[in-house]
Amino acid sequence: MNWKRISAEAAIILIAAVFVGSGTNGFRSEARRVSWIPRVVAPPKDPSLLYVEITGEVALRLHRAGAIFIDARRTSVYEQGHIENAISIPVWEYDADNRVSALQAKGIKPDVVVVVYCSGGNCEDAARLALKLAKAGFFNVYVDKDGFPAWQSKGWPITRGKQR
Amino acid sequence: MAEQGMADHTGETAMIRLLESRWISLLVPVALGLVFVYSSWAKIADPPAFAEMVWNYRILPGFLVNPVAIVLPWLELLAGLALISGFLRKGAALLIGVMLVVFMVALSTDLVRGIAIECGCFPTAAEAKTPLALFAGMKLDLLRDAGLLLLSFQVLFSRPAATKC
Repeated sequence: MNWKRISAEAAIILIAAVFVGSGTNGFRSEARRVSWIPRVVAPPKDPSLLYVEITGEVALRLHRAGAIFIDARRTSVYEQGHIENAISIPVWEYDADNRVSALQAKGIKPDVVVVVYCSGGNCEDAARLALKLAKAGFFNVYVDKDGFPAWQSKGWPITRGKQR
Repeated sequence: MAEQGMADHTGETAMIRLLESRWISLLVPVALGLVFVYSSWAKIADPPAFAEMVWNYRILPGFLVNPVAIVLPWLELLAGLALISGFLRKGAALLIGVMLVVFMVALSTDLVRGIAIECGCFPTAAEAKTPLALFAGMKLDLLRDAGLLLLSFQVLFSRPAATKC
C-alpha cells in the first residue's frame, strides 16, 4: 500500500471538488445558489426573546389588520401558491440577506408587525428567517407555526405566481 | 488444533482470492462509483435544499454548513467518476471511505441524541414522516453505509492485476 500516493490522489480530487463547487456556485441563478457565509446561521440559546410563535388563527387576524407577511419557503414553492400579499424571502437561497435589507430600504419600519411562515409541521425555515429579521432590527416578529398548508386548507386568502 | 488453524488459513486465502478476483475488482468500483454519482446528482441540482439538510443534522457549526453544501456534492461526483473510470481510483476509494465514516458518525450521533432527520443521502419524495419512521430510515441508512464502506475497502486494499495502481 502506497499511502503517500493514495493520499495525494485523494487530495487532487478534493481540491478539484472545491474548485468546481465554488466555480459553479458563482454562476447559478439566485434560487439555486447558496452564499458561503450567511449572516445568521446558528439558532440562539433562547429564541423566544427574538420572535413569538402564533397559531394560524392569530396570523389570520394579523393579516386582516394589515401585518406584513413573509414567506420563508423556496422560490418555486412560493410561486405555486402563497398567503395573499406575502413577500418572498427564501431563507436558504443566495440573496436572503439582501432581501431582508431591501425591506428596510423600501421604508418598512422596524416596529411594524411581521408574520413569517413556512410549510408548517416541523419546518424551521420561518424560525430561521425570523432570527434574521430580528437581527436586522425588526422587533415585532411573529412565526405562524401552522404554516401555509393549514392556511390553504382553511380557504383563507392566497395567491399564485411570482412576486410583484 | 493445528488442523483447525490450517483449515482457517485455507478459508482465508480462498476469501482473499475471491475478493481480489477479476470480476469483483471490475464490478465493485463501478457499482460504488455509480452509487456516489447518483447520490450527488440531486444535491448538485439544488444546493439550497442540501444546505438545509446539512443544517438539520445540527452537527456542523453554522459557518461550515454552506461551504459543505457547495463542495461535498461535487466531491461525491468526482470521486464516483474516478472510481468508475479508474483514474485516481485508490485516492477516490480513500475519500469515499472517509466520507462514509463521516456520514455514519453523523447519523449515529443524531440517532443517539434523538434528532429525527431525513438522511439526505439520495433523492426522496418530499412527504412528512413520523419521527419513528425517520429513525427506522436512519438505521437502514447506517446499514447501507456500512455495506458501501466494505466495498470501498475492497477497492482500497486489493491488489489484483485488473486494477491500475
